[in-house]
Amino acid sequence: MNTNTQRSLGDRYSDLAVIVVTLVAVFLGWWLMSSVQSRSIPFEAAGVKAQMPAGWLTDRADTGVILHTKEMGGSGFGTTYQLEVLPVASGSLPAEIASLYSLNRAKDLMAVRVLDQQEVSVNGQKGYKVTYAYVDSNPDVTRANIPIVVRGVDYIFVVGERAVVATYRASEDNYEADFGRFRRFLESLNF
Amino acid sequence: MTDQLCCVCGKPASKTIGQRAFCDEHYETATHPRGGVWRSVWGQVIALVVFVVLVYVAEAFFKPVFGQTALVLAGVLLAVVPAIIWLAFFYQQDRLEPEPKGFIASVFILGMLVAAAIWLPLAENVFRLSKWLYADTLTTILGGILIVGFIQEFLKYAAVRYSVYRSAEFDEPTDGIVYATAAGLGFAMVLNIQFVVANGGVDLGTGVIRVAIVSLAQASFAGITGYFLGRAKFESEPLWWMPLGLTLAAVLNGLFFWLRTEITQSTVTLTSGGSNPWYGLLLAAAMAGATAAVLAWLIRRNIKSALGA
Repeated sequence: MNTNTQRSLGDRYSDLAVIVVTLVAVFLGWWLMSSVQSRSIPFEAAGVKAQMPAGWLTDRADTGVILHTKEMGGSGFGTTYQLEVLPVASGSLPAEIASLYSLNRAKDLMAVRVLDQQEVSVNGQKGYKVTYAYVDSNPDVTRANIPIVVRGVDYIFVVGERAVVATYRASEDNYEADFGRFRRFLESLNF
Repeated sequence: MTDQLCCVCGKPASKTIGQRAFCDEHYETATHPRGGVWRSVWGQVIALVVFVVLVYVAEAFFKPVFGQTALVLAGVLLAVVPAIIWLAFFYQQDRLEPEPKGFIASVFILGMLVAAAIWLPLAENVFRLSKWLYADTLTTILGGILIVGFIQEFLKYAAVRYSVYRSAEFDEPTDGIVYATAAGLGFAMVLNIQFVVANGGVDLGTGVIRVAIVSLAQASFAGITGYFLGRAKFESEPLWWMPLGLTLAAVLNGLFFWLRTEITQSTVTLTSGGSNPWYGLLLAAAMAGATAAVLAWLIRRNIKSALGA
């Protein structure tokens, strides 16, 4: 390639100016993305308060489930948060509720594997955390989708005669990236 | 004048345009209107729309039944067609002073590479656009400009600016548009192939419309950046010139992205719904035609102005 090496100072500054303008635009875009992804609305039910993500799809809840909200954008398994309140015997330990919960999970979900369980503390509230994975198969027979591996985590807190279970589920691809937002949701819990 | 060198080839210069010095040969090329480029652009727009209509009608008439692999292959073939149409028109119209095929192919491949290696990973893994970009209208417009527009246009700009721009073959202001269009079509081809593969093949009728829309749009936005690049090389432009060109292309990219989504969405009823992609094709064809007309007018005006100075 016969290259003309004569470049004016103006060309170099012009290059630099293009890069700077692009970086500024991308920085502003990043800030926009962060602000959209941290938008939340207040939620309150059964004495539990939280800041839930704005613009998500909220299903009608099953018995005991006071919140079941799912991200609308994207394809595949939508990232899901759930809050459930269970009546428990006074003095029950979070680890005991976790065992009960694990049995139910094994009944309801396909190919469940518990990956980790440990005691945790969130905002000074002691609880129990169970991390697991399962296979989600789309029940829609009109769409031949390959089943998706979903990772989930349950945070179980016992307060008096009730347990509050905060659940986070996301596809394996999105789990880590979406966890930060769930962490903020978890820290906003007040019960 | 003898102490100045031609800004294209580095030989002793004899003439100037603004503050840029040229040898006799490159002064001629820099002030050459080159109508074949515009005829090839308009020819591409018309041929692409005709191609879309033919595929759509053939699909509706014959109703071919493809397996998934055949659908993916057919989709990939459709994605390649816009570039072939443009190249065919371009070389047919540009026979007198053809751009080297190797340079055009190199820039086209660079456009493909930056799309596949930089844009797609950024869009899917870093910015994860599908998760937030459609939250509301303002977010779609601003995100479309700041993230989609600026990054895509910068990558196409870089594919030309850091390759053929300093070559002696980049010897006419119109070359900026030619090479940037090649980069834009390479970029569009990768976007289209990625869409086809990610969806496990596409319906031929709607797939061909999408391919045409993306190709026309990406080539048009790149053409705008290319115009600014061409002027930047052959005339002494202020510091804000090139950032302005990139910003203009990015803003149009973002607005097109939003407008296309808006106008292709039709009312959902119990018996019909979804979208009407034909409006998107009309928008893309109108935008490509208008962009080419405006750029052709600007180039002619600049040449007249340079010759009159």
